[in-house]
Amino acid sequence: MTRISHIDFPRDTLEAIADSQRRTSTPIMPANGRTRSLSWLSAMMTDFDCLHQHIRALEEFYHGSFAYPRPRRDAWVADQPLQDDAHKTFPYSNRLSDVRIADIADHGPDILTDDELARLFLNPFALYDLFDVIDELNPDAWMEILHATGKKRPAPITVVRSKSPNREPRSTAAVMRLWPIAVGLLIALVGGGLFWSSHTIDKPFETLVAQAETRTLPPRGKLDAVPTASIRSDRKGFASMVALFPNDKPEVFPGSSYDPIAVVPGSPSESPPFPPGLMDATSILIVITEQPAGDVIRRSLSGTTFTPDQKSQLQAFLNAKLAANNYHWVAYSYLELGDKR
Amino acid sequence: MPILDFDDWWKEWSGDALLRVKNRLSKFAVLRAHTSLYATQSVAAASVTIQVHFTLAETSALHAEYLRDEKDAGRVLFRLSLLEALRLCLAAEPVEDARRKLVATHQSILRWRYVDQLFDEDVAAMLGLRDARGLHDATAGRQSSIDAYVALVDAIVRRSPSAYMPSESPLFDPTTVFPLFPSITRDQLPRFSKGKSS
Repeated sequence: MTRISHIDFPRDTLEAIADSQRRTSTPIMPANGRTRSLSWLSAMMTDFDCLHQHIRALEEFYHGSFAYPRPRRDAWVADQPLQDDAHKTFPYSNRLSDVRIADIADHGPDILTDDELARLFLNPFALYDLFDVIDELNPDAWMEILHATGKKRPAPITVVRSKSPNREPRSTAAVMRLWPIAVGLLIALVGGGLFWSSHTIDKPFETLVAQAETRTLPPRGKLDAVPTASIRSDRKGFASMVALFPNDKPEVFPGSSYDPIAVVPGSPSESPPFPPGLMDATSILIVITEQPAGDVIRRSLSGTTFTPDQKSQLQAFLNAKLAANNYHWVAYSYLELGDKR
Repeated sequence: MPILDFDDWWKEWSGDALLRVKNRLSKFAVLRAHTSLYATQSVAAASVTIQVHFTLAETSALHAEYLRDEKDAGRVLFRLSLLEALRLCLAAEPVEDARRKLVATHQSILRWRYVDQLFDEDVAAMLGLRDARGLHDATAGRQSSIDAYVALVDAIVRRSPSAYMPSESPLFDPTTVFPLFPSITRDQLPRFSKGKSS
């Protein structure tokens, strides 16, 4: 059974597979790539963030965008058309057969051959479909893997419980005598729990530094070259971008309908292309937080008029707002646009 | 067999619930930007209920039985967390925008079903719906709830039509646009009853 020994994105393996597919039309698993690939597949199938990171890399490789398909439960039939030009963008767009899906769900990722695994890595549609099935069915073979992934996560809140010395069940009569205490505990727990759920940490709010630079995506077809941001952070989190204008109010990007920009240590994350509305901005503040904060920042900045020369005031303002919304840390970086646009 | 130690169990299994809630919410495009935050908040909220079981287990054989198996308790935490997550889903910005376009009654019903997690009969009571015997009409309460849910889904789809299958398509399934409220199943929606299946 595959174990998750690490969940670092094996970008080099994916690049090697994509490269072999480009050269020979047949994706080939690199030597010694199987173990890492199985670990990564396990991570992708049990953690949407990992799947999303992989799909973002495929979008980058193939200069295309991927729209997550409707889940399989959406009355899906085999001849349902995929998104318009999926087959033109990615090398593979067919889902795995139902029989093969059932095999993988029942027996785990180890039953995939190297060829299947290599092909699957280049196919965002089949990857999402497999994720969808595993999430619906929760098969035992994958729940063990999910448990291994889950254990690597910090507990969402620190819960402190006082323990009673006698932990064995008591008689009914004893229980009846203890009911007033139990009711008191219930009230205390509910009250305490509500407190914990809104005050998850006691540590001071941390302000950190991230790195970012602008990149320009080359022109494609009738589309002009567009700027994007390449973001690095020492902590895993999500990036929001605040565009600052000399004579206008700040704008937060990406919009609420878009995926947040996931950031992981060790490899740069690419923002979506800047929308036309950002073209007049002279500075962009990159804000990285442990959870997506676009909505919080957007709400907080609504009605404010921070300009590019008020950066320190803006950071202090955001620190206070994020801390008030139970964020624990933030990392900032600035992009000065100017001639780079 | 001794009952579980809460601290050990929480350390071992809360991460599972967190991941599974996040993965489940990630399948809904309108929630995708919020999944990590909602998963964290919902597991934290569910911890309150599960702690009650641990407390009672120290005094009650019934609750002790409930917590003998750490995996079972983990599954319960996941399900409780999903319910808590439903309380948060209406607040996601695209959903909130869509909800505001609905008539006031539908907006209220949605709050009762998702945030307060009231049942059919409760909704009937809130709306003053009575049956022939003068009692709260649970069937009418359910129908009103389904109408409000379908109206919300329509508003979400109208907001970004290109992101969804047309709602008039026979393949369209509203439960893939926005999660159903608790205490109802997909089969109880009118278009999926009587054997219409995926």
